[in-house]
Amino acid sequence: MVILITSDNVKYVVEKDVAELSVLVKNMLEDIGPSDEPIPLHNVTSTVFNKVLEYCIYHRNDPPPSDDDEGCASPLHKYLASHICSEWDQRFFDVDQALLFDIILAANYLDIKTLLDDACKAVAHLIQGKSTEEIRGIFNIVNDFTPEEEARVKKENVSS
Amino acid sequence: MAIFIHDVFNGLVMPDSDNFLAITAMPKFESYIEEQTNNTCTISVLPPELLIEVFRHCVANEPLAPLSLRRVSWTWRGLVDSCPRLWQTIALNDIDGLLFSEEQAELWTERSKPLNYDIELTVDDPDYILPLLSPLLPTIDRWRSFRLGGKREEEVKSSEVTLTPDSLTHLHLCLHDYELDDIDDEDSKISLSPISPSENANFALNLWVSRIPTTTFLPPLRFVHLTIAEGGSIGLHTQPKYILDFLQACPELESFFLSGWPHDGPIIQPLPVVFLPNLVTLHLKSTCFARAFLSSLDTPRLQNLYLSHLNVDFQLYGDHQEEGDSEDEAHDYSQSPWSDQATGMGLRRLLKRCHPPIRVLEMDFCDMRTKDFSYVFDRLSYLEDFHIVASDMSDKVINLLRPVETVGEGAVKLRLPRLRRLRLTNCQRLSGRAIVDSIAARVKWTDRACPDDSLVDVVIAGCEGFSVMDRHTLFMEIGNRLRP
Repeated sequence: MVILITSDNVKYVVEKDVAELSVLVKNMLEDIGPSDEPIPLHNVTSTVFNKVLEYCIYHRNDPPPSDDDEGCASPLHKYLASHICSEWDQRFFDVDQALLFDIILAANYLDIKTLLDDACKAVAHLIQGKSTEEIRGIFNIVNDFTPEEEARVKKENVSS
Repeated sequence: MAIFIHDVFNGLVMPDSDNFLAITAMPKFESYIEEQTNNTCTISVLPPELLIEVFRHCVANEPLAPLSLRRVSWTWRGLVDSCPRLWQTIALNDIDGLLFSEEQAELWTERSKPLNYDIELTVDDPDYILPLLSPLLPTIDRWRSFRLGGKREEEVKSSEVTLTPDSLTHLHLCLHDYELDDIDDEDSKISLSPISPSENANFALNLWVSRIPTTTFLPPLRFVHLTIAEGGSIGLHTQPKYILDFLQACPELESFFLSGWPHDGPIIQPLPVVFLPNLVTLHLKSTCFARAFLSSLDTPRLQNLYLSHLNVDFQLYGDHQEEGDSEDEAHDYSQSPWSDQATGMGLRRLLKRCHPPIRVLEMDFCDMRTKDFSYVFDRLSYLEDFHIVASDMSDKVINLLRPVETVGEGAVKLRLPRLRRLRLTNCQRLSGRAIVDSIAARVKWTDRACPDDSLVDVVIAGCEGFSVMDRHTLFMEIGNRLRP
């Protein structure tokens, strides 16, 4: 068992194989050696960590992600070759944007590659097939182009 | 057992100590939502590197996503434009006839620098392959991989061949009827190959298409060698206009080979005149449209002209009334009078238009009228090598090669003044006497007047009128220059 403490001071006792899905935690455990010392997770609140933990438990037996940045296969091919999000994953990421972004930040901080990838996919799914205006609306982004600049960008995009 | 966190928060499930145990009190999930909603948290909380990760997944799902993403805001535009990986996959498809424009190709290839890029081409209609790929051919040295999807999947990895824009010199277009071919899925639609097994410096792009690609969608192609092959008797055929239009998209051509099929019919008009300033070699084979092609080419540097299997024994379509179309005053017999006239008139138009310095003329199962030979011989002042196979030319034609004293001027006219090699093969209407007299007279005169331009290689093969005695007589006149 590993003891983890979130930024809002919530303690978790987690099985080691689950905790070690986080490369950050795994490295810290290796650094400190056998110990009952709790490991602080400064950048993750308990609310977000609950979600992270839920994901890690569900995916604890998944094969480790391959380092697919090498080789000749294209990103699209790699994407298609990678696992398709399951129904469970779809339900898991069916949360409000704020929590989704926090999951991404936590996954990045904790260095959980599969969670980071899947969460980014979930955000990408919100963008997919949307017009520029719709994307701005979804994420509450202010259009900071002047009309002239916007026209120029549109022209650069030629037949987009 | 999987534990769902909402169930935990709703009190439906207690955390399993096998999995995790919350030691202190958990904050209420609802309050978190409320808090975050009030914070108007947006995607801007993500640092650039994570936003780019999101963008990468967008691009994987939607290849044109960079275009819409960079229009969202200045920040997003800066991120998208500064990340070559987002532009590293160029996905092309033939849905709705959407074509990847030259400008878009430039945008993608520029933004993806310095990385090499991948091409994902998904087409059901192979006729779209060349129009879709052509804007990317100038940067083929940056192709990391090329994958063709659709009915048949094919893949080329850059590690397998070393391609550069300069080494991709050949384009082979083969007309293929996919509707008639039950096993088309087994056949390749595209391939890249060395131009010969022993040649690894130059490569050919081989495409099997059902029609000649329309030039509307084509940027200028840099191929220097082009082969177009029509289908056989039950295969697909095309029109001179489409081929000529396509030639216009290949301004750098140095050689063109049409391997057709002798089908005839009305020709779509008007035909463009195609200027090919670098064309050195032209080969027309098995086509009834030799006149149309030869009449439409402007090839001021043409040196090698190969005309093969152009003879047909049926009347060709069309009623032409141009200068030279009148009946041949020689009235010589021909098994293929209509194709003789077509070939002769086409060649006349070509010579008249651009005066090409033709050095090699090979006519294999290809003939002309006597007056066409006369016209052509009068104008091919650079011809060095003339080979004719299966011609039913008369003695009047071989007599054209004799030196002729011009009446009243005391000068001698010599047609084909640079002719060094003459090969007559299976020309059954030529008499041995005419062959001997003409060639002997020519050699005798040129040896004296211009030895550097005298015949050095004469082959007479399979000509029934050329007897053993004729061979001996000619050998006595020109010696070893007469090949066995």
